[in-house]
Amino acid sequence: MSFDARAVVRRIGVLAVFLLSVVTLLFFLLQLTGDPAEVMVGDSGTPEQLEQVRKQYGFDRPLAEQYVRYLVNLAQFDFGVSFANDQPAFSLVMDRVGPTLLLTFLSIIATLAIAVPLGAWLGARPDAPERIAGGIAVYIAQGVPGFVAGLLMIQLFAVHLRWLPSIGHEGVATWILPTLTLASFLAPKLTRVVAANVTEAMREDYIRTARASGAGPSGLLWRHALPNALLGATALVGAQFAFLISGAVITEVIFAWPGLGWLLVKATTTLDFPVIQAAVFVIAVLVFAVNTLTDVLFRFIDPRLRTKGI
Amino acid sequence: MIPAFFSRGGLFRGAAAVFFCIGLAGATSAADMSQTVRVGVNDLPPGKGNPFSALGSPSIYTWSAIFDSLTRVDDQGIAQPMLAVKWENTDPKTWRFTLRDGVKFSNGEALTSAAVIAGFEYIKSGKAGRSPVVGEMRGVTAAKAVSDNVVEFTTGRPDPILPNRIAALKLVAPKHWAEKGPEGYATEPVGTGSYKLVSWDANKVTLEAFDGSWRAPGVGKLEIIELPERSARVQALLSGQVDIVTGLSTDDIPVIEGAGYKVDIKPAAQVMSLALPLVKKNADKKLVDLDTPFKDVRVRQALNYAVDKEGIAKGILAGHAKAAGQGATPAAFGYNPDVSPFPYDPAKAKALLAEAGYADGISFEAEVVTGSFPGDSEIYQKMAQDMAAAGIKVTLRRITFPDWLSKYLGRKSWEGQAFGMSWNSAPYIDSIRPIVLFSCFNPFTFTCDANVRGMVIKANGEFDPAKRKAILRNIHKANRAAPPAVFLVEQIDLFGLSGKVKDFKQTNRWIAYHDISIN
Amino acid sequence: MTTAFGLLPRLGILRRSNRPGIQLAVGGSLLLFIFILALLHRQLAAYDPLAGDILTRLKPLLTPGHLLGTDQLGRDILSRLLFGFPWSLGIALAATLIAMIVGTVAGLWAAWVPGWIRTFINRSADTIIAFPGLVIAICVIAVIGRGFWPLALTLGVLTWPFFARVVYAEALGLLQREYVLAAELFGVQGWRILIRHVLPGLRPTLMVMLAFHFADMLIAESALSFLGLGAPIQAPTWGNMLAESRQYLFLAPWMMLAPGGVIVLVVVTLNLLGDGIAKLSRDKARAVE
Repeated sequence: MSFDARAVVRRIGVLAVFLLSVVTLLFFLLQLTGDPAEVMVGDSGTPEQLEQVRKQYGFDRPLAEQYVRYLVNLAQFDFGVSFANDQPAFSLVMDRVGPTLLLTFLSIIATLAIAVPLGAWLGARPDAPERIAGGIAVYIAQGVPGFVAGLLMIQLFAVHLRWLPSIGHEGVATWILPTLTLASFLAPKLTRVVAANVTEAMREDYIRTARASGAGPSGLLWRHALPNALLGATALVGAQFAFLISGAVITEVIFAWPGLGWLLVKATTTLDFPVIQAAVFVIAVLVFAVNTLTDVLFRFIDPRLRTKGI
Repeated sequence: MIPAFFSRGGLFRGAAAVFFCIGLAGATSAADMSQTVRVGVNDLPPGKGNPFSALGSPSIYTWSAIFDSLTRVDDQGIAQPMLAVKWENTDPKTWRFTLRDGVKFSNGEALTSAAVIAGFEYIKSGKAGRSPVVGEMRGVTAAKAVSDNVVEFTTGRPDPILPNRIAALKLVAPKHWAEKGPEGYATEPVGTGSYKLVSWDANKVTLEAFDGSWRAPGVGKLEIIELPERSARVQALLSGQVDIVTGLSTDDIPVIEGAGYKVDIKPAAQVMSLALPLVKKNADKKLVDLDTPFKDVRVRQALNYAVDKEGIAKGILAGHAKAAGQGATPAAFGYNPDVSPFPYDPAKAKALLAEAGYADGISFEAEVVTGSFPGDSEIYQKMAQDMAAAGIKVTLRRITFPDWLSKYLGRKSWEGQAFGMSWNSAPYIDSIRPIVLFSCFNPFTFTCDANVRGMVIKANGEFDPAKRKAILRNIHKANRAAPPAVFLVEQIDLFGLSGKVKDFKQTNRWIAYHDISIN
Repeated sequence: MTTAFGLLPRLGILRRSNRPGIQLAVGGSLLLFIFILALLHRQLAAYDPLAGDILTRLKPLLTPGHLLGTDQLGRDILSRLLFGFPWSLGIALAATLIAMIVGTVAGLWAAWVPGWIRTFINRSADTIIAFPGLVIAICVIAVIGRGFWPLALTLGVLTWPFFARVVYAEALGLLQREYVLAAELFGVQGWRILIRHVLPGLRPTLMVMLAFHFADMLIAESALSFLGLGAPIQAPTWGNMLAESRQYLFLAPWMMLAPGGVIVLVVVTLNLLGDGIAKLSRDKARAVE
């Protein structure tokens, strides 16, 4: 595709508006969650201590003033320091980005590795009895909540068989169970999308044409039907990315994986506003980046879209 | 007043110090660097390595490896020597502590009075606004170095339990502290404890033996890993990935023991209760009476009779906890052994309610926080079930801890009529702490009994431990007669240990890492 | 960022065509069965779902009097499971309807009115999708507390953009159809066009999404319960039951079976129905072609 400078500028404008709306929504929502000064002083705090902490952090200022100052600080990329430990909130968050992206990336790879072949197999001849049974298994897998899958896998592979570790994030062995747990959420859905698309594509006109011109069935599947199905997979993976980034929290909790989701939950339950704000900001930027990437990928995979120039 | 008595107390404590030193004398050779102990904890210290940022758990699990304070309160509620070897009153408002000789911080600084003064000055500087240590040091007006190894604290009014209270003040290496401040200390903590920091990662703290410590450990490496999910902690223990886990529940005991592992069960210094608020602070910051059925003491008694606390202790906590009848555990100073829990008597509960004019029963909402104690969610639910059987309909509202705090600290008002509340004698294991917190002296109190108020004033000025104990016991007796809360159970702390961990000891969640050995 | 979502419905989740009849028949009868259980939960439950005897806690499956055993407080699991039907299904359905109504209105509006309204709606959808749901869940709990409606509201607010995006993309297409253009030409009022001509065209898509979304909400409820952000503590929702059961994975593993099994059952039912409807409408469309 061609690089259109105007499109890039427009994209940046969209990003700016998007980030402004995310941080604004967040700022006002946080006001509803509570008063961090109370969490900081705890249950043995005195009224004087509360007063002092509110003053120290500027919670006693009018809301509009706090909001403006928040935006001004953000514009300078200053997220402030964590209420809990005085560390710069942004660097606390960035420490978690690596592990989060690693887990997300691995689970998307695992999902594709499971869902594409399985979906192609199920979709190529959807009426075969063993494939109907496979389809039902996929339905069932979809109904199992992530934490159940995770705990059961630990029980089997770590506790009983002792094949795999269930904690830590150093080394390939520690990646396997968290990756599978997160993939267990996405893979059944994707399998069904791929299966449906493959079934559909096998009947499309151009496949019939290809078949008429003498291509074998497996060639049809790999050369024609599957690329089409991948389009659907890309869309689904792109759409679920936001979920994977912040929604991986259950996997992170179970496997002691130092990701963004758990940091965010902890910060939210202790009202550590700077950390919440930095985390949500970083997540928003990541989601935006991946959506942009998905769009580009889309045009790359599907030539029809390129020519249509959507 | 009677300083003579106090030097006697000091002597007694000196004797205890000798025992303590012997206990530590074994660890003189260098630690075995081929050994590692891994600990799975609910949470790492939120304030990281800034030892003034919190008190108690979860921070204490990690900090007890790194930091020490002048004293430590044992499981009998008595202050034991740590970095101070003895202490005495030179007059009722002055406490003089003598520091242990030859103690070094892990960065090489020597322990002198300057370390105590550095921490104390920070607490008093106004920069430590949110530190819970500020509240614990409220009555202490000044600290000064009498010599290199003698520190003197002055209190505003006589403070008989300062040696217990001072345990909250962990000692920092003064030069390092001056250089780094609280922000720098958070990532580069330095203490006198058994271990020194190697790295502080997002969910793991790696430490190694500080061989020059006055309580040097035998095991060379220590890893503390955050595992927030309880079932995952159990799994990590059972799969041999960690050696010690914190925060278990009694239902984990058969699982852990069944797999050939061990559990360490100790009473916690906390009593679980359902507070029955009678007063609240109004806009003018004055306490006003609430219009509630709990005004009638018979209703409060009825609620206490209605709950089968023995059933909770036996059924939910597998007999490892005890039913509570007062806001103190046996270890806490001032606990009254003669005050028994309310017997389970639904008929009497009904009768008392009828007498108070509620023959048809009452109904109310209770706001509770769950997930802080073994089985707490089940305990509240069982309480509600029992009360329902006596015609008392309780709707439980589970709220978040920040929300609970907002309501407790009075910015928001309670939506229910009762709320879950723990009577916590930690950190100094003296029952005066919850008593003062839940008395007219705390602006955030939910109850204010004139009778108790008078006794609290007396206790606060009483230096003679025996007399002070007698007053505190009377307060517990008064609180049994006119209960400010439904006392449920004395809580417990449960740790899981793998087979290879030996000599594990913990007191009020302070883990004696220096004693641990591995085979 | 809208492209990917806009294409989603066209990419085949909604199309697959092989004998929708079986799927619809199986899914439909399962749904009927579930519906009957939900209606008769009071009659079928032998015990009060909140009351239990601590002496008979953690009894295994097939204990006399407790077919599915008892939980950690000695409550009958079968009774709790039955009382969970109105709770869990209700929350999931209410959340789905909130998301669908808000999303459809927003999507239609955005498709109909170009300019700043379209931009505003589309950007709002982007914002919500990228916004961590946990923060919103915690806000709702802090402000209005826990319960049936707070949960339904949280899930609905978090997921309306999924409907809005699909509806927007489909409606844009439908608005280009000749009969719609013709109606416009004849001066039919805007909202009439949307209701008469566009909405019916959206119906198959919405029905399929309804089924899938309903299933997702059921799982979401248990995820929120796991994080302690779910229904009130005593409430017998399946999510609560499942979240509580995880602490008894070792001691009483059967506790996970009942709530887990029923969630799987409902999810399978709804997915069968969703797939069936999708195929049916696809076949119809084919027939028309």
